[in-house]
Amino acid sequence: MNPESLYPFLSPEQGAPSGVLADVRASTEEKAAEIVALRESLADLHGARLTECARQMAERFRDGGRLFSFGNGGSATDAREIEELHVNPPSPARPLPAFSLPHDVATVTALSNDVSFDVVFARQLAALAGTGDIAVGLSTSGGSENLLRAFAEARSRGMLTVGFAGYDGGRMAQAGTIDHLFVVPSSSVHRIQEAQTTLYHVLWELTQQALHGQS
Amino acid sequence: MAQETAADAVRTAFRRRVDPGRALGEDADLIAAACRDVAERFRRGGKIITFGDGGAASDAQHVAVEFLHPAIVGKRALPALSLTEGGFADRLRSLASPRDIALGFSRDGRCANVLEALRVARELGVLTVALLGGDGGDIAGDKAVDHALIARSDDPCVVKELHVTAYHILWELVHVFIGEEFAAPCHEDVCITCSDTAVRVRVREVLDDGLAIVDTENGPEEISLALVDAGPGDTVLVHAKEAIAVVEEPTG
Repeated sequence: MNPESLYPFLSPEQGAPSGVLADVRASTEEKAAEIVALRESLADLHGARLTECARQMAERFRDGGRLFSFGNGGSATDAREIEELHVNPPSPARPLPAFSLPHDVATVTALSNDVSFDVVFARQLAALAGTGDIAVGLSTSGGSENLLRAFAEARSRGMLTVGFAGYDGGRMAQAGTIDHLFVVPSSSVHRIQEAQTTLYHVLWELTQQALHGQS
Repeated sequence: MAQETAADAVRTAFRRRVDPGRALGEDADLIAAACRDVAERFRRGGKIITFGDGGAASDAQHVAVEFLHPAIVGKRALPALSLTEGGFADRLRSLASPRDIALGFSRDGRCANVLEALRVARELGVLTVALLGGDGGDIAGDKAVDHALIARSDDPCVVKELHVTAYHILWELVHVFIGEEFAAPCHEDVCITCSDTAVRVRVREVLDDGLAIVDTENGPEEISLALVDAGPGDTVLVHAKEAIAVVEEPTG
């Protein structure tokens, strides 16, 4: 096998690696189509449960409840997005109290250093949250120990517990501590995160609608 | 009746995402060109600096962790940092070098903090990329922006969702370009770009996700087979844990 057949773009007369560009272009189109189809499938799969979850969240918010969001890595940024969307929503939506646990860096690093990373979100919930509040945890694998502990703590405190996971839901699906678990049935960590973004956005939108209906 | 209305609300919310989602696929050329240029900066030793205000801060952080600590096993870590508070332009001036990449997020294309930082980046010789929404705002048309990708929706939530897909693709394709560019000159036993020796090893077992276990002098090791078509028993040339060619063994 010669190098040109392995790497056709190596040919010196080619300024741009057009072969790779074409491949990359095709790959982009394929992934964009994949997430559109996955997202569409979620309306039937989770629609009724999103509506019910939103109704219960609206009840909690109406009674003064607050939302606490958590996740690791990319999912920590989703926790932050959820906080931001509730606290500073696009007009005319109603601002709602929410807090992203991983973004309290001093507390997260102190607990991790002094105790264990496994306890970070659970300890924060134990200190901050109570009956009437809402716990929202996100994971792609569904297997993060600190999330499982946080959901156990949230459940024991009487919080409404909402989870987002991927693949088959992993340990989050087995835990028995999550009132509303939304699993994205995909094997791609990226497509799972993208679909979860849509799920929590739609959940927020339905919660706003439910609050509007109740007021 | 109430049930009907609730189901409609869900369907409407999901349907609102379909057309903008398809439009992202139509921008494949733009995305590919941006990935190629970003990869070139990384190849020259640059880093990516990401920034966004409000909700977009979460995207800046997501991209940084994606590059610095890839969720997908076997992908190399690339230098990245995110700015989420204060004036981005001043921070950028103090942190950036000319071979870097600046990636700014604005869901309506009108964030003055992001635009100012992109202009400073351009002055410094930094490659500038913007992920935008709505009509692209004043950032899309600004001379300081090398690559602008606009998510075609006025709903900031939908824009964010498309941005997540866009930067996941960006990350993945940057690795395709880097893999090719780094690996391409390595078809001899010595890598031309880094003078490192590529090692011949035999594939013992093929794993999921383009990975494989190979036998080395120091015992079994996990490598990536993503760039070659090889199976158990084949001898491959490996550089930086990446198989770059299948070695044709003389028979008999």
